[in-house]
Formats: sequence, C-alpha cells, structure tokens
Amino acid sequence: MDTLLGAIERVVGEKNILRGEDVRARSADWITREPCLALALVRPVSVGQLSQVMALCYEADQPVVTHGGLTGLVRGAVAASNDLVISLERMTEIESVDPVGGTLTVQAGAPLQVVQEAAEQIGMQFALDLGARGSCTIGGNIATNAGGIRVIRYGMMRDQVLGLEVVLADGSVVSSMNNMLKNNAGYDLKHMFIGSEGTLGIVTRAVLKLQPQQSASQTALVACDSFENLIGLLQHMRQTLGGELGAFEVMWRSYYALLTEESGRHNPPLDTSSPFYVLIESLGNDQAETAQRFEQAITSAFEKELLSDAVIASSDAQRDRLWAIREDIEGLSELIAPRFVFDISLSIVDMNTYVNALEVSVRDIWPDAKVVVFGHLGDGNLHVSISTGEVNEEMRIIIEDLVYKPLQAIGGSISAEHGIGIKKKNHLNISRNPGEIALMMKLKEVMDPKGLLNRGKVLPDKTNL
Amino acid sequence: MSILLIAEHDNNKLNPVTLSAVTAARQIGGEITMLVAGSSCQSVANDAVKVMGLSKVLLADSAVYEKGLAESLSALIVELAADYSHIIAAASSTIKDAMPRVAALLDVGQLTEIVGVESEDTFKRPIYAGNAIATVHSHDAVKVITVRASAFDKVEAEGGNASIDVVNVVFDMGVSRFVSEALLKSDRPELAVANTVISGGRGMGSAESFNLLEKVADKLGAAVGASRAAVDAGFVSNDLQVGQTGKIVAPELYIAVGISGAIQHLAGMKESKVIVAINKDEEAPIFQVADYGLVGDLFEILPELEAKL
Amino acid sequence: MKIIVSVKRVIDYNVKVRVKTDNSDVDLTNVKMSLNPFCEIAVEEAIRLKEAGVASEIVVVSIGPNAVQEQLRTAMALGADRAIHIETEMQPEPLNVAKLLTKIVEAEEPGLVILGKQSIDSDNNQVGQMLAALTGWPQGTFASEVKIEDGKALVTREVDGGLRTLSLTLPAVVTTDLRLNEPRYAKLPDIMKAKRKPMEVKTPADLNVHLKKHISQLKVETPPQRQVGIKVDSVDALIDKLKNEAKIILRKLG
Repeated sequence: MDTLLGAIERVVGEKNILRGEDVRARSADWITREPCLALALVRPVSVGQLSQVMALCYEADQPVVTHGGLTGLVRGAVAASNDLVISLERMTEIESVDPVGGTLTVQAGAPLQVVQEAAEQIGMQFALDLGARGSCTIGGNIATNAGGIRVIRYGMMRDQVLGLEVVLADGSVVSSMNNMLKNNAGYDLKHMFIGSEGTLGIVTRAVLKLQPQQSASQTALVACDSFENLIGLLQHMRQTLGGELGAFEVMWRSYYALLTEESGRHNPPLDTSSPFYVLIESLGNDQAETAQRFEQAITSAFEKELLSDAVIASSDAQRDRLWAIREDIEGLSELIAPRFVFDISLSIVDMNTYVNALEVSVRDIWPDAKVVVFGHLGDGNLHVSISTGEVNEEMRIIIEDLVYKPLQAIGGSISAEHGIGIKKKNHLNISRNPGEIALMMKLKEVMDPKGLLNRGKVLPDKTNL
Repeated sequence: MSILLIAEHDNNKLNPVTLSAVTAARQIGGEITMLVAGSSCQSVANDAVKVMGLSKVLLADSAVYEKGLAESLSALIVELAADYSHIIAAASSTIKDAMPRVAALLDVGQLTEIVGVESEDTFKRPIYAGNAIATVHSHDAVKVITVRASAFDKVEAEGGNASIDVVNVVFDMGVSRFVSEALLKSDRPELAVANTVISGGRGMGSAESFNLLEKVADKLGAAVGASRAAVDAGFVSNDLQVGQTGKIVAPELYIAVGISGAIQHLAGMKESKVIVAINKDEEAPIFQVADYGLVGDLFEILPELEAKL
Repeated sequence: MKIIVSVKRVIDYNVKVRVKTDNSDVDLTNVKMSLNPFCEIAVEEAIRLKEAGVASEIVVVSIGPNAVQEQLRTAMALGADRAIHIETEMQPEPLNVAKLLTKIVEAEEPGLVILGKQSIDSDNNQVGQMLAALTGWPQGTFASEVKIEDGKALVTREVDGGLRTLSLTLPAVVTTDLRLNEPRYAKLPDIMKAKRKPMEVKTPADLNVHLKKHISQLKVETPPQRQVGIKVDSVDALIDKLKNEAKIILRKLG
C-alpha cells in the first residue's frame, strides 16, 4: 500500500496527497457529517497527473471514489477505509470563454457559481442553477446530471454540456471536447458519462453551453388554495409568460409554514393558511416589458382565482429574501433532523393524490411524523423529507417502501435529479426495467472491468437482482 | 486658501481620524485652522496644538456642544465659515450628521467622503458602494468636504505648535435634545460591524481550540467568526458563521485561521480591506484572496501571535 | 399627522456596476432599477407609524424622469396614500433635491419627513440633513428606532461605536439606517389599488426652484484591483507587514 501511495506522491507531490487526520477532518456527507474514512486523498492538478494516478491504481487494483463539492444527498461520495479519494479541488480553472460561440471551457473542480460568474463577466449566463451553487462543482453537476431551479426553462446539466474530457479506470484519457452545437459523428460518448456518478470514468474538463443573459427578472410568491388551481396556475403562467417563465417552485404548506412562522427563520411574506405556495420567476431581456408582462400575468391569474394572494418582489433584495425561504435547506435539515430525504419524479397530475396518500401511510405508523414537501412542479419533481424523530435501518426500509412502491404503479422515478449513489441502488428496479439494468451492468463491465470506480454505487447489488 | 478643519473627539482625547483629515487638508494646501467644539474639552485643544501642520486651534467649549448635536454644531461652523475657502473633517457619524447642514446653510454642495485630492477644487470619491471612483469638481466658492479617514495617512500628533483662540459664540437651537446613549463594549464587538474579525474553520479541530482564537481576538478588540465547516462540525454556534448563508462582513482586517476558503465563505468576507490567511495547507484557496498568507500550524501560530500583539 | 417620504429610483443593489469604457459614468443601460433600499425602509417606517395610529396620511415624493413613477407606484402599493412626482431630466444634486423637497414640505406641512440616509448610487448621505437645515427643523439621522411620544420624536441613531437617542421637537426630519425595520412586500391587491391612487406631477419651475450646478462629475473609474497577496514566513513578519505596509492599528481602540 505504501508503495502505491509513495508512487502517487511522486506524481502529485507531497502537498497534494493527504493522509490520516487530514482525511478524517473532512466529511463526504454533509448530512451525517461522518468523517471521511479513505486511506488517502489525492488532489491532482492536471489531467496528466490524474491519468498517471489512475494508471497506478489500476495496476494495484486500488478502488477510488471521486470527490467534487460534496453536496450530494445519496451518499455517492462516501468512501470506505480501503478506498482512495480523488478530489478535483485543485482543478478549478476556467480555461476559456468564447462569447461568440457561447461556450465556456472549464476544469471539473470549478464551483458552479464561479462558472456562473465567469459567464456573467461576458454578458452571458450559465443556465444551470441550484441552491448548492457555491459549493457544488461542474464535475459533480455532470456526474449526477444535476437539475435545479431553472430546468423548466433550460433543461438539466445534460443540456448544458457540449464536450467532455474523461479519465478512464485504466488511466487512459478520452477527450471529447466538442464545442459545436451540432455534431452527429458517431456515438455521442459524453452522454454515457453524464449522470453516471463517477462509475464509468472521472470527468476532468468540460465545454459548457452558455445562454444569453436575462438581465430582467421578476419574482412573486403566491398562495394557492387547491391543487387544481396550482395546475391551472402553471398552465396560465406558461401561456402568458411564454418563454419567460424561469422558475415555478412549489412549497407545500408543510414546508412554507415550517420555515417561516413555525420556526421564525424567515418572516412570512404571505400568511401560512394556504395549502400551496409558489415562487414564480420570469426572466426576460427588457426591464419594463418583463415587469409589465409579469404583473399582468399574476393579476389575471388572481382575477381567474387561480391564486388567492401574492406578493411581488419590488427589488432584488426582496427577491433574495423570497428565494431564501425556498432554498433554506440548511434550515430544513436543522428543524426536522434527523430526516429521510427523497427526490422523486412523477406526473404532475398524480402529485397531490400521491403526497396525500404518503402522509396517511406514514402517519398510520408514526402519528407524529413530519412529511415536508417542496419541489420543481413544472419538472414533475418533488423533494420529500420525512422525519419520525429518529433514523434507523429498519425504519429506513419501511419508509423507502412507503415512498417508492406507489411510484412504480404510476410510472414515477426514484431519482429526479439527485442520482442513485448508495442510497437508492437497490430500488433501481422500480424506475428501470431488467433490460435497462442489464445493459447498464454490461457497460460498467466494459468500462471498468476491475470495478474500481465508485464501487458499490448506482448499480444494484447482484444479490438484489 | 485657508482651511477650517473640524476635530473629532470625545471631549477628552483627539480621535486619530482627525490626523488623516489633516493630511487631506495639507494636500489641498493653505493655512489650517482646527475647530475643537465640545464641552470641558480643553485637553482636546491641548492635543490639537501639537498636531503637525496647524496654524491655529479654535476652542468652542460649551455644554451645548457636548454631544455634537448637528443643529448647534452646524450653526457654529457656519458662523465661522466666512474666513475659509474649505471646510473639512473626517467622516465620523457626528460629521456626517452635521456637515451637509453646513453646506446647505452656505448654499454650496458637499463633497462626501473623498479618498483623494487632485487639486484645491477637484477630488476623488467612491460611488456605488466603492465599485466606482468618481472624480468630482466643485464650482462653489467654499468647499465643504468630508474625508474617508482610511484613505489618508495620519500626520504626526506631536511636534506642532499652534495657538489656541477661544470662540465664545454659542448656538443652542433648542429643537433637539440628547436623551441617552448605549456604546458598544469595545472588548468584543458585534461581528457584522467589527473593525477586525478573526474567524476559525475546520482546521481549528475542536470547540476548545476556539479559545486560542478568542485570546487573539481579545488582544485585537476583534469579533470572532467561523466558517460553515466549523459551524457544521459543531465547534461554534451558527450565529458566528461568516459567508453567503451567514453574515456578510467587510472589516478593516479579516484573519482567516484554518479556513480553506470555499466560495460561500469568500462571499461573506472578500470585501474586507486586508485579509490574512493562516493555514497549514499551502494549497488552500483562501491564499488566493489573502493579502498576507502564513503557512503553518495554527496551534503554534495563534499563541505566538497572541503573545506578540 | 401627515408624513412625507422622499424616495429615489436607483440601480438595484444586486447589479454589478460596470464603468463605461469612455469613463464618463457607470453603464446603466437596461439594468434593473429599484427603490433605494434605505428609501424602502423609510416607506415601511411611515406605514408602521400609520398602522400604529400616529400618522394619518403618507405622501411619497420622488424626483427624476418619468420612470420614477414606477417607484412611486411601488411605494403606494406598500401603503403610501398619494404621490408627488417632481419631473426633472437628470438626477439633481442633493442640495437641489433638498430645495425641491423644502417647497413640498412648505406646501404640505407634514409633522415628519422620513428619507433614506443615502442612496446606493451616489452615496452622498446629504439630502435629509440639508432639508432639515433649510426648513430649520431638527434631524434624527441614521435611525434604528423611531417613536413618537407627546409631540416629540424619540429617535435612536446608529453612531460610531454604538447607539444614541435624541428627542426631537416636531416637525422633524428622520433618515433611516438599515436596522430600522424589514420592509414588507407589495401585495397583489394593493398593487392593483395603487394604480388608482393619486399622482401629482410638478416641475422645478412650478415650485420656483432653480437647479444650480455645484459639483460636476469629471470622470468615473474602476477602483484599483486588489493586489496579489504575498506569503510571509513568520508571525513577526506578519505583524510587521500589517503595521507598516497595510497600516493596520493592531490594538484595541478606546
């Protein structure tokens, strides 16, 4: 072992390999905050170094776990004591920005927010956005095919990536740094790696697609008194705002009331008596036009009684305060710790029935349990937190059944945007059919025959097939 | 040219920001007269005469001026203004309160918080919260100016030899009255407004080792902060968190100890004037924003720093 | 008691300002404009005084081109009763603003005028004090608490090193600091109602005020960038650099 680490140290230099307490001081799971157990953490500064490190690991049959910003929710970055962690934290450079082609080339360790700000510098925007923007990295966004709050307008990470560079299990480098919007020359290999959660290769660089900046934004928080109206409101906003609808984020009362009145973390802009609250945002180009269209859209929704009350942010300071309620995941974690977290997809029309039934089934077993729901309604994506006051393995199995089983019947997905990691791998068959899973396994076998990359993640254990 | 410079003081001692205003005044040029208006403030005038570069000190000593109420102080300054081409003072809260009144009563504009002197009538001042610097030119016969003290060096407080003239005019406007004040204890200022902040991160290792940080903070009169990692690890409570999801601070001096420098932490402190980073990992991103970096073991550095301050 | 609140339309605080390449000014083309944050707090304070039964009417005033009517509507949606727009081409200097407001104050005879302590564009921090000087009224600047009792305004002010409370004879001028309150949001029904609230338009000529040029802006530059930092090798070297290069006073003040 020491010979392997010694050889790696010769590649990356003494300061770029951490051992012992320096590794223990880190945590790969921000919810449990458990220490990182890996035997060492290596942080290469270039694709060349990483390629050499992987070649050494391949030769020594050394399993590796890749670390980005560590904001995941499915334990995809957890490492065992005989794993080696590859952290991309020293590969954070924005290599080039092309305002004409609308592309940005970046190393995988760069935080999302750094990329967003670099795009803003040239009057463009990088359209992926999520609450963890300050910590999560582009590599992690790619590996998990991240979603977030702008999917309704711009799609997921997959839609923002033009090209990739990947280091494979044996250390070989596949560069597919395409910067063309159109390129149908054979298989588009990048899509194999996007969303593969580090199990097929390690993403080192990417060419990202930029969008024109939408400098005019308008934001409202509205209250809805029924789910039917909520659906009606979504349709109404899509129609009246056209392409300008930039976010439609729903908070069930359970979430909104908890984060405002019940905890005092935020002043409630609207009273907490309605069943649904929606943060609606439009993104346009012209300040006056966008503002006028938005106000008209909200006003006509009010006149049609699709919404019962609304506040419109009169400044970006107010906009930020409204978003702070929706994005206060730290607060949610604190208020209902410990909790089970789920990220599910289902058809919008099924959501209300599903959530109501879930609440009933959970409370049948734990009458005081809290079921807290919010999500990206327009994307058919809900985030469900369940807290019974404690967390144990037996309980986890029961609650996962309560959440996932009904999804199978209605064709939902156990992971909308968080990925599979360790947490959901043995439920993969709920959302993927045996043919799909078999092909995934074949692919893994070809790409990583020794099973070194993020082993034990994404794909179900063989015993569970 | 002749300049009237208003002294900042607490009726006991001259506040050093006044010495920075003197530098600005000397860059404008001409004779400088310093006005000490207060109550039982002879000792301030005695300090003032020693300040380098003054030709005269005016002492207006009356109970009316004890708290520097804007209505009375501005009336006094306007009364004296006729003899001067410039009226200037460091932008303290007393001066920010009173000086625009002086300008209005003289029917001239005010130049707020200048950071540079280009000539006797042209100055540089920050606008848009310091995101742009404007060069501005005054057309008025009398220039009323407040000075951002941190932008100018201080003149020597000793060595001058000005004379004291007593001013006996008293303006009591009678419309405002001092009721009470609550001055913050200087030993541990509030994080958001502190002039110096020292923050600890994951590298502190434990709640106990924050004591090391607190001892240095006590020496500096600094507030103690923390990174989110330190809060998450349970070392300190989350009201100490500096960063995007915590408090945004912009002190004169920010010392980051054992903090790697995640972007959400940087968002909370990068506007600080001087940033010091102490970390054993020389590759930590915090060094990229630090003015002064010290690579080493914080458990050795902090006690040494405390001893040497 | 009637309260007048003066508000300013400024670049939104979130917008990163860019200096124009010809250094004539900052580039305000198609950037988001909002109510100045301190003015928003001023409006909120007036509304709270009205809700508490202290004030009977809130008149909101803004000076500038037609676009400022948007901010006046916002203030009325928040709770102001009527608006006065003083139409000017450019953004007048603080002294001119104070003179225009003095005329409004003379005509309206309010018991209290509340303004933001400064606007986040020009950062002048002058208008409230100048208005108080021109009207001869007492002032409570940088307020973090305002109470009206027995015909007096009890204003707690944020001053260097702490808080100071003054008692002001009414009528008086108050300027707001950040911690005075957290402004409310404009509710949709109120936004709709605000469209029907009265808005009076006046010109400086109507008010018999001549806008005089006191200060010209010659150029605008980007501030010097932070210099690349250096590593020091000892605590002594660090203390030396802080004292002698950064000129930081390494001791407790006061």
